[in-house]
Amino acid sequence: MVTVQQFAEAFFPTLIEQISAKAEIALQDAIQIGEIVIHKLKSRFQANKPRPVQVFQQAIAIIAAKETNKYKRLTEKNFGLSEEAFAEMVSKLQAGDEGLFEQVFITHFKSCAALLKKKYKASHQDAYDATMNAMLAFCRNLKAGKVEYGNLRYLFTQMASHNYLKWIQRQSKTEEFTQFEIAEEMPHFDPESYELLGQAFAKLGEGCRDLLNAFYYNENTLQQISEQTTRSYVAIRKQKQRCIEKLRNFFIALN
Amino acid sequence: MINLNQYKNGNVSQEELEEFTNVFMRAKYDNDRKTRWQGLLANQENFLRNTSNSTSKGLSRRVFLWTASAAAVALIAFLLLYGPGPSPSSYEQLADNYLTTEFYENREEDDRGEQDVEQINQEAISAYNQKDFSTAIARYEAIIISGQANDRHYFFLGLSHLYTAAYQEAINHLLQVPLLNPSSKFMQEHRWFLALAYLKNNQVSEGKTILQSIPAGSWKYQEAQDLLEAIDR
Repeated sequence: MVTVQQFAEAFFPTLIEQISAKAEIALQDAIQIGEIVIHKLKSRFQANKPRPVQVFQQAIAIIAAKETNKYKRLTEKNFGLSEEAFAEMVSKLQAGDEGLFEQVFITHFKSCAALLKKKYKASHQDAYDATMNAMLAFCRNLKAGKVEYGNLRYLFTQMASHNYLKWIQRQSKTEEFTQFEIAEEMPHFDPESYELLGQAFAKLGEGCRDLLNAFYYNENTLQQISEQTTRSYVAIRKQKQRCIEKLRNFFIALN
Repeated sequence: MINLNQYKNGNVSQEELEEFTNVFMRAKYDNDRKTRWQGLLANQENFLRNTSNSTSKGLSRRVFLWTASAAAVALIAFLLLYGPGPSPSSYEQLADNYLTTEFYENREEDDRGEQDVEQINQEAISAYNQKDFSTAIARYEAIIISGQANDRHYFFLGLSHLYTAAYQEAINHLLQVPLLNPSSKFMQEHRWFLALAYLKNNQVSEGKTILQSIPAGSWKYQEAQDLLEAIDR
């Protein structure tokens, strides 16, 4: 016969091990789930009343199964990311590291495109393009802090569906005049111009490259860049003006 | 907004230059990303924008699935006709008969306790008697989590698992009954159903031991003897 407090203290390491090993959950997340489980167990039994160990074992098995399933359902809705992993991904994106984002979204790209093909009878290429544009938009929104953890899978497929349906709508109005490409929803330039812009950019000094990268690639605001570099907002704004003028001059020279 | 030609050749104001550069640079970065992601999709996921490969792969996969399905159906039909199976008089079949032909009703009415637990208990009893075992299991589990479960809750939770063929779960819960209340009013029922659960879970020696402990003349004594005979046959 033990009290719930005694049981919780003795059983916690085993509980973490079981959650981590049986449910294949990362140790850090398993500890968080374990703490929730113990908290719920303690709240449901009188603290000083001894009971057979088996009673607590049964109760904790049920609570742990429920909490583990809850965690799994939530992470499944969020491409396998826990809330902490999501925050880490956003933080890395904002610092210019898109590796984790790519790893997560590339893995789920195919299933999103498949959904568009199944639900809307979209062609393979249309589904591919709509999903690609959704991934771009998602990347941008994540960087801007506009996406919250909760149901990333739903948001992503909604965004891709919206892209596709919008394109279909536009195409049905204009199909006699032109052929739209979903990929052209965003402003689009010819490949040669992109190549020359890349070369012009490479000619800039390091300071300009860092600033323009932070602003255009990482989608940081001038205020954020000012805080990161401990330079005044006005100084940053003026530097950016000079940098884009230099960029244009290099671009014209290359043409 | 100015266009690319004006950017290259024309006189543009600072504002126009900022606006166009913003669009041009972001479009370039988006283009870079798309190119990189297309490469990752092709290399890591074998997923191409061009579908010629995936169509033939899809077709061969469909052919494979059809062939595999047909083979599986044929195998099942063969096993049903000629494969080994328990003889009708085996202890397993007998245990099955006892479980499927007689349903042990929950006649509890005067459960006491806190009001919410009482309500959950009534829902559990109702679900159990309507053979809605998944609901009954959820309700009995809720009572256990509340910390107010007694031997009766564990007994009917065990039975709910037993009737849904979750034999190990049934054993786990039925074993709690005497621990919580050694003089439980369900002791003879507990013994009988625990024996059935052991037999169905292929733990024959445990099942046999319990069946042998059922006293002559008590509830299910004759059925226990029939089972013991079938086990030894």
